[in-house]
Amino acid sequence: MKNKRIWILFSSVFLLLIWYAASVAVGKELILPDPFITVKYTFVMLHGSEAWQAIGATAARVLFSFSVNLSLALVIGSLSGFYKTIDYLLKPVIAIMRAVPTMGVILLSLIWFNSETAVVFVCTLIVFPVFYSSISEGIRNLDKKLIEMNKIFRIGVLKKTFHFILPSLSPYITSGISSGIGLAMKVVIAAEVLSQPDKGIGTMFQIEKANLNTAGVFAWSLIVILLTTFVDSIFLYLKKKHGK
Amino acid sequence: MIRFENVDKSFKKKIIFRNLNQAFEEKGVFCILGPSGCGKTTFLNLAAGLLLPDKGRIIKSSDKISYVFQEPRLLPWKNIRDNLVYASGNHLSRKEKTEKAEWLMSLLEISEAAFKKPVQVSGGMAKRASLGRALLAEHDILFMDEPFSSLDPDLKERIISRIIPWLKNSLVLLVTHDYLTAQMLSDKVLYFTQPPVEIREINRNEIKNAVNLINNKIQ
Repeated sequence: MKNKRIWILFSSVFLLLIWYAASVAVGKELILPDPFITVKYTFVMLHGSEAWQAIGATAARVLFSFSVNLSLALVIGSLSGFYKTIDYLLKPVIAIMRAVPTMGVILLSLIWFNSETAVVFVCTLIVFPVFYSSISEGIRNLDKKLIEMNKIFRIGVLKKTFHFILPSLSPYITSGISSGIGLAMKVVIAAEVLSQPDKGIGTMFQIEKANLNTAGVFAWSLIVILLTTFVDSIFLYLKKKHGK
Repeated sequence: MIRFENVDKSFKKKIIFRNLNQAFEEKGVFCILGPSGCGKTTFLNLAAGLLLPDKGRIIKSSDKISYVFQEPRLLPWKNIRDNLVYASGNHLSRKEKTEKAEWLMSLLEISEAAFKKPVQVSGGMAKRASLGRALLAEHDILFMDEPFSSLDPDLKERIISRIIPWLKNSLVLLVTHDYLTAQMLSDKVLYFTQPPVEIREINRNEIKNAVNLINNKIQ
């Protein structure tokens, strides 16, 4: 355990050193700002309310798309887990959703919807397959012996759902969430960059880029990394607590 | 009542039952003896509706069934008491269920495990919990597949003598390899031959010979 931390710390410091060395070698803040400037700029930004509004707006979009996604995936994923026919019917749809280029979807949805709807639509389309597969897999992996047990004792649908199926799915849901949240964040921000909603991290990225403020772009990247890590660690914590 | 009418069942190429006719018309404990792998569990699963026959049909007078599986099959995230209550049906109030579950747990000597999860208790305790669950569940027909297999002889005898009253009002199909179980519980004893199975009713004084025959074959 101790060793693990040391190695991770070592690797992080090493990356920072490379970054610093590279920025010194390049010697132009406009191309590659060094870590200190990035951190400093991050603090400056987080001091103002604009940055927090952008973070809030993006977080709200991610959360909203996320809950829509999760509910849809729970229903549709369960159906396809239980009924082979539905699984086969949806296979091509999911394959397309997985293969479609994110940028293509973003551009199309900008043509079709306003900027708010577009972001949520894109996120749903890209992240849904992740949740969907993990939930339908969870259903397929339900313990056959416990299914028989439920059948024998004539357990009602509601009781079975809440006391058998959902608890069985919970590891799949958590793993779906933890692999989906990073993806959702990236997709939402990418969509924001192009769709330019009023407030949002993507919008801020675009503004910093337009002002040729490379340190700003770096600072926002750092904020996104921190946010993702923060959310991830919440889920890790919940997972641990649930496991006990 | 359970009736097997002209039932065929095979797994891959192996024929287990061919044109089987067997009826259990009245209440009572029917012990099923027979060599390992001859199809006793298959017989219970067919009767319980977990398996479908290839041919023929199986009729039951009631859908209210209960089952002590060979493995405990408890929900891992519920404690032992809640596992008992989970399957108990809707014929009792929550409070009555809990009380009855607690009474059964004391009969089965697993009260100390009431608030433990299945992984935290021994295999024997989990097995007794699944026995308790099956007894608590509302039923007219009870299937038991080697319900006392992991218990030591003294405990087995205590538990069997305590659950006899709980079996009175049901039709019970009990698969066992064990002389004591068959001797103490059975009203009638059926002997299953190697597949394709033929079923013979045997007298209670033949139980010992039958059990010896089966167990010698296992060795």
